[in-house]
This record gives sequence, C-alpha cells and structure tokens, in this order.
Amino acid sequence: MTDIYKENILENFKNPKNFGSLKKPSHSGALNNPLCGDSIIVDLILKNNKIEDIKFRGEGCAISVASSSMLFDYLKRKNVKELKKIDKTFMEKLINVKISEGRVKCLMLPVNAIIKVLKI
Amino acid sequence: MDVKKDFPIFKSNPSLIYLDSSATSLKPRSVVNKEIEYYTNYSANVKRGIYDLGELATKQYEDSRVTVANFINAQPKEIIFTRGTTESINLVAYALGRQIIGKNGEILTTVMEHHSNFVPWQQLAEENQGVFKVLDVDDLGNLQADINTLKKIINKNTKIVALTYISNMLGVINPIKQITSDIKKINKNIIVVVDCAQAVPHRRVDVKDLGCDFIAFSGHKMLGPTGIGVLWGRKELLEQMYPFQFGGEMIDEVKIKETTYAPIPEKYEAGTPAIAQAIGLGEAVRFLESIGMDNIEKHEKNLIDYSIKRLLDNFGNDIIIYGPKKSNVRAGIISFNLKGVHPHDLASILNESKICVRAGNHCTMPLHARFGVSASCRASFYIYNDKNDVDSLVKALEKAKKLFS
Repeated sequence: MTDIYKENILENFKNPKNFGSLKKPSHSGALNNPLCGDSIIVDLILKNNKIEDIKFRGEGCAISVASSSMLFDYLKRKNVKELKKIDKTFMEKLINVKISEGRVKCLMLPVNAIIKVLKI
Repeated sequence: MDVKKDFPIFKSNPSLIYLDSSATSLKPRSVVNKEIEYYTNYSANVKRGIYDLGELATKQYEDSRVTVANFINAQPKEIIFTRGTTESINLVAYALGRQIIGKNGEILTTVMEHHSNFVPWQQLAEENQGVFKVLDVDDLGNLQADINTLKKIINKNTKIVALTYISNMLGVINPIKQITSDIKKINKNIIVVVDCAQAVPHRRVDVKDLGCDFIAFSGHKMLGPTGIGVLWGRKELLEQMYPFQFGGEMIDEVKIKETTYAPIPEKYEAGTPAIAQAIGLGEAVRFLESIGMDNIEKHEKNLIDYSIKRLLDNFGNDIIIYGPKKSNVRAGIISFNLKGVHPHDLASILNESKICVRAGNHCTMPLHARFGVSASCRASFYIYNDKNDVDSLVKALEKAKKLFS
C-alpha cells in the first residue's frame, strides 16, 4: 500500500540518524511548521564553510523526520555551497519518494531549518 | 438518513468518505443550483437597479436574510451578512470592542477557542492596554466556567466575554445559556459573544433562548457556499456600534464634510455583497430545515457514540481521544492521536482509502498546548455520514498502526 511509506522512510523515522544534540555547536536554532505544529532544532559545527557535524531533535511526522535524517547525513563534511542545489526535486530523489503538494512543507522542513540556522 | 443522493460530489467521487465537515461541509445540489440560477438568470446587483432583474436579485437576497433570521429565531435586520465567522467576530471586535474597552478594560475568552475567536480579542486588549484573560478546561476538556470560577475572574472592568458553543477540536458542547446567565448575573453590562460556527449547522440554535448578545457562524460549514457568513447581534447594540467598513450601500447621505449611515443591517454591509452566496445560504437553511435540526443532532450523536466505542474497542490504550466521552455533551467531532503515528502520516494513510480527515492543530494552538500535543487527527460527521464510514475509518487506522508498529 501507501506509496510514500516505504521501508527506508519508516526505518529513518523509527531510528533517525544524526538525532540528538551537539555539545559545542557553532550554529543552533529551531524552526516550526505551523501547518502541523512540528518543530525541529538543529545544531551544527561549521568550519571553513564546511559542515563538520550536524544533529537534529524535535517532534515530527515520518516525512519530516526521515528527510532530516537523510539530508543531514548527506550534508555532513560537505561545503555549505551544496545547499544551493537542494530543492524539492533534490529532496524527493534523496529520500526516494514522490511527495504530494500538501506534504512539501514536511519534506522541506530540514532544508528550511538549516537555511534559518545559517542565516543564508 | 438517506441524503447522499442529494450531494453531487458522491457521484463524481463514489468512494469518498468525507469526515472533515467541521472544516467545511459538502454542498447539496439544491444549493449549487440556486447559485447557478442567480448567475444564469438574474445576476444583477442588489439595492441599486430599478429594473426587474435588480429587483429580483434584491428580493432573493433579502428573502435569504429572513430565512436565516427565522432559522435562529432573530429579526431579519439583526442578521448581518459577512464573509464568515472570522469576519463576524472581527466586526464585533472592531466596531464595538474599540468603543467599549476603555482604560484597563478586561476581555475574557477560553483556551478552547478557535484562533478566530481568540486572536481578535487578544489583539484588541493589547492595542488598548486592556487585560486579556483565558478560562481553562479540565483534563477531560470541560470548560471551567461555573459561577464560582466566573465570580473570581469577572469584575466591573470586564467588557466582553467571547466563547464557543461547540469546540472544533474537543467537540464539547458548552452550556452557553447557563454560562451567559451567570455572566450577566455577575455584571449585566458584559457583552457575550458566542462562536456558533460548529453549532448552527448541527443543532437548533435560538438566539433568544441563549441570552447572549452576538453569535457568529459560517455558511460553508452548514451546506452553504464559501464566502458568506452571519453575524447576529441585538438590535440596540448594532444600532449604537461604529460602522465596520465604509463605502457604498452602508451610507444614508454623503456630503463633502460629513456622512450619515444607513440603518441596520445595511450599515454593516459596505460594498457589493456576496449575492449568490447569500442566496445559496438561504437555500442551505431550507435544506437543513427539510431534514430537521433535531434529527441531525440525533444522527450525529449516534455516530459519535458508535465511533468512540469502536475506536476504544479496537485501539484501547493505543489511542488518545480528546474531550468528554459522553455524547450528551459532545457534538459529532472526534479528535485523537494514535500512539507512534504522527497525525500527518495518519491523514496521508487514510487518504489512500479515500478518507478525508483533518490533521494538525485545527486552528486551536492554545488548546493543543493545553493537552501537551502539537497536533491531532480529527474526524467530524454530518448528515451524509453513516456507520460504514466509521468502520472504514477504523479499518484504515488499523492499517496505519500495523505499518508503523
């Protein structure tokens, strides 16, 4: 059944990677999704424009948690320039699911969170 | 209740299970046709043209006002057509609230309000250095508004109490008549504003019996069109309030230096109104009356009893149902959370079975915070729902539970 609830989504939702907090983040901040009341807090360490480490915590639906889990895994040890290419199409490819219009905000929650935290 | 055949949407979507009537109701054919009739046969402006079509449009528009007035036992001139509940409440906050709040004026509302009956009052208090107070609910969702509680909160500075008849999240029915009478006993000058958006579509509402000063409701939640709603207010209050918006239709005479205003209700209906929608709303009321409000209330009580039983039997401790479990204090609304599944995911999974529910905070963030959650799933019933819909809901929830376990 349910096309979007594939094994990788459920697995990343139940056991998210990069979940928790960092002891000495260089950047930290929260973002709310007013649509569903989800909130995500992101800690990261930025060194010479490179994301050395990144972690998130908070409450969310399977889509927002799984996309956070997978996006932050992807971004680790990458230059912040990478963020420029991250749009809806990129995210759908990354988590390997096609998202309906109503759930795009959930998919993009980690992207918008990191943009807010880095103020870019 | 055999009304599905009257709703064309079930013809274009035969397997639709619509459980989101608290957000907006479906529309019967007669309402759709009534709007088409206006646009096809007599789409003239109202209260302007001295020609047959203009007069017919005006007559239909005003007939609708009479129909709505009779429906809630009010006088036609006390019926102000607005865009909906939100605009009705904002109208009172703007046109009366600013006039009476004064220095240190107090406004009381409740934690269970929809944002539309919360934010306008919060902002009115803030802009005027007033005091904004909020009544709490108990853990079952019952409003804490007995006379002793009210006596502690209300005083001679209290100007307005704004509260809902039926909570759009908890489904709880507040004893408005009792609460209003208690408020007036403590301070007879307090203006009582009741949000009836979830009440007027589902039970008989009699404004004389309620004893309050204003009620607000929306057409689109009671089988009518979007873009039309009602503010009912006591005649003497409507006559003394400021206008809400200025422009055409609401004036008596305009001179270079001054303007006098039209009598009520025109005073509050500036500009060309939502004509087709108002006429459609009248037709929606006629449809509801042909079924009977008491029958509608009974039908929804049966559905809510059945749903609560089925949900608790099937999911036990894995489901949290918000609000009182007894149907004598609950309307056809049921908000819940299934352990381990986010409401948004639930709604997506239910959608696979063509089941429409609401997921989120239902415009009641303070109430969700009161129950320590950020979101919930909500199923709400109306005349076209039946027990099969509840069975489908339970079946789809079982699928979701299995998927996420």
